[in-house]
Amino acid sequence: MDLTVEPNLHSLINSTTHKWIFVGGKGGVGKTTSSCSIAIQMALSQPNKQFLLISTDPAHNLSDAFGEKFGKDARKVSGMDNLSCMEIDPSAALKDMNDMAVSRANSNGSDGQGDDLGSLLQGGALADLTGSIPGIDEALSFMEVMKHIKRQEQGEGETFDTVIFDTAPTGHTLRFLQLPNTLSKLLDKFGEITNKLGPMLNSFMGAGNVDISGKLNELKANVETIRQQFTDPDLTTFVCVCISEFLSLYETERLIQELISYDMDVNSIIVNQLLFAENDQEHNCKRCQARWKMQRKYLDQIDELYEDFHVIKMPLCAGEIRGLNNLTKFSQFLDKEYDPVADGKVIYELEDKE
Amino acid sequence: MGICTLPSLTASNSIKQRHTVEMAELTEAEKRRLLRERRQQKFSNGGASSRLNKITGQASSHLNAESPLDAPSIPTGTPVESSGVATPASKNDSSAAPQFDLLKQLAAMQGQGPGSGSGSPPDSSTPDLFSLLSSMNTGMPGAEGTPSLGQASPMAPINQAALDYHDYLLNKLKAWTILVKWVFFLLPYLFLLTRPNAAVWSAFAFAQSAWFAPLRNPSNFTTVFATFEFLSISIYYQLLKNVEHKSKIRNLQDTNKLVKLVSLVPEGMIPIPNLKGKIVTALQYWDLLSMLITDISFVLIMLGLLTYL
Repeated sequence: MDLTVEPNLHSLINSTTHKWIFVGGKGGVGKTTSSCSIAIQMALSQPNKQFLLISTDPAHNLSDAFGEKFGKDARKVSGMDNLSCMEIDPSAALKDMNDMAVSRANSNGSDGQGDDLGSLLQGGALADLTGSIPGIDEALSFMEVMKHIKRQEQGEGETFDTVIFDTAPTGHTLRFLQLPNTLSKLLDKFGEITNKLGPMLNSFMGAGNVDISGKLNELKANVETIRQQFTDPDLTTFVCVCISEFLSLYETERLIQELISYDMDVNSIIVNQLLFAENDQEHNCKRCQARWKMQRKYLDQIDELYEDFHVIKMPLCAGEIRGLNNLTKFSQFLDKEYDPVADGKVIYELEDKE
Repeated sequence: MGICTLPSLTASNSIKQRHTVEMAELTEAEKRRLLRERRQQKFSNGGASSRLNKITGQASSHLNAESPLDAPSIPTGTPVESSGVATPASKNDSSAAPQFDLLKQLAAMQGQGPGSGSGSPPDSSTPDLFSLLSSMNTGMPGAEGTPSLGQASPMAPINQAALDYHDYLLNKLKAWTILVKWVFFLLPYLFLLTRPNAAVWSAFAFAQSAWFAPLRNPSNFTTVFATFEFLSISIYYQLLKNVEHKSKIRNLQDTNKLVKLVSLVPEGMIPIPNLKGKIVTALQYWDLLSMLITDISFVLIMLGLLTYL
């Protein structure tokens, strides 16, 4: 049976089930432009829903992309009623959490618990923790982001139906998806210890007589719940962004394989900065022709390797894609694939950003 | 006479029409599911590495073409303990308990933050993922029960065979060391000390040379013996480490009851950092010390026998 896959994101843009959309790839391939374009198209096609575009890249670009300042509080994009943007630095948020915990521990020193937490957190113990469990720093950062989103919803009085993440180019954003497996092994080991020591361990852990095994299993169950959300293909998907060059293709393949190892759904690839020079008879630039020939070679490989993926081929525009108007013009080709002959003029129609 | 038809073309057209009809009957969800399965199939059973090989091969690249999807699932570089249970690296092992304590306390503190009380009802939009963790602050009773993990999982046959072989190598090394030391060095030396003029030495002319005079002098016994023991124990220790390095198995970690007892003590309870590591080091040195004591005992016994006879 031959299943043809449309070379556009029409089904994702009009999806009513997706809650989490991650957009990622290596640096300089157009992640931010692509994530902004996806967010704009979704907001335009579903005007009754609220969308949040959030950048977790410490080198934020959303403000530059839209030409207006965004911060860690969600703010609506000027000209759009149902699209908000937010820029948050997860590592800074994690550091704030650590500092907050330390200051709380110091102020709680009288009840005896403070020494325990303070001595754990001070002196870089948090760094020791994050360094030894793979994915834990990403998980803690991500939880901080989720908490922030929750606060925004409560502050704004409206909920976001879909959240689009413009991820950092490091590719470690979703490493925490393997955390439940890691936690399982650690919990098993810790369970072995608590089984052997029994009540003696609780008496050493201080007041409250907390059922440690129960709480740890609860933690594991909760982390598993998070993982279930992000591995449900109807709720979450990852859109890979690349360019038609060898290294980008290689990195994209590795990224896809890593995501598959996390059981994350990935079915769309955006290929940016394509020249389509064979249709550009008017200018006939020799350099562009040579470069387009190179791009075509890798495009053929992409078409062959990713025949079961939505491969969206986006053109290299004559100007920068900045500002809502330019992004809206550019983003239309995510919904309806770019035709170099019919749509060729659009790439020259981008407005100069003042 | 009927119209001349092309039966094969007609048949293939009807097959295509049937496929088109089948496709139209598929819902979007079913199409997505089928595509997902096809994608997963292409990345399984070595397909992932072959894809990377294809990419790097066509560009004549030296980049790594091993896929994480095709990598074996066993942990690499983890020494298998001689008791037969593979455990994580000692860094995680010794700090797992305080790490979880920290994680638990951090999660509890998150629950104390504004607007995220544990009593808030679950939200249907953005999932209240963090309140899931903050609910740990309420001291809920334990879950359905911890899995029964008190028993170690049975060792795989191949690992047990490796451990047995390792034990065999260690015993063999120890036996040969003792044999060589006692028979080829200590016994002749003691015989030379107690019977320097015995007829047997005429066959070994070098034993009567001036070079061996210090060895024949009983007052030098302590120096000679100590030097010999130092050299032999150093060589034995190096050979022991070579065997451990080749087989990637460490001794003493779980076979020793004292080490097992110490590993049960949570880090921080006893104000000695890395207590388990220190105990293991002490036991290693005890192993060498016991060899020295054995040699001294042998020397004493042989001296007694040679003197008496």
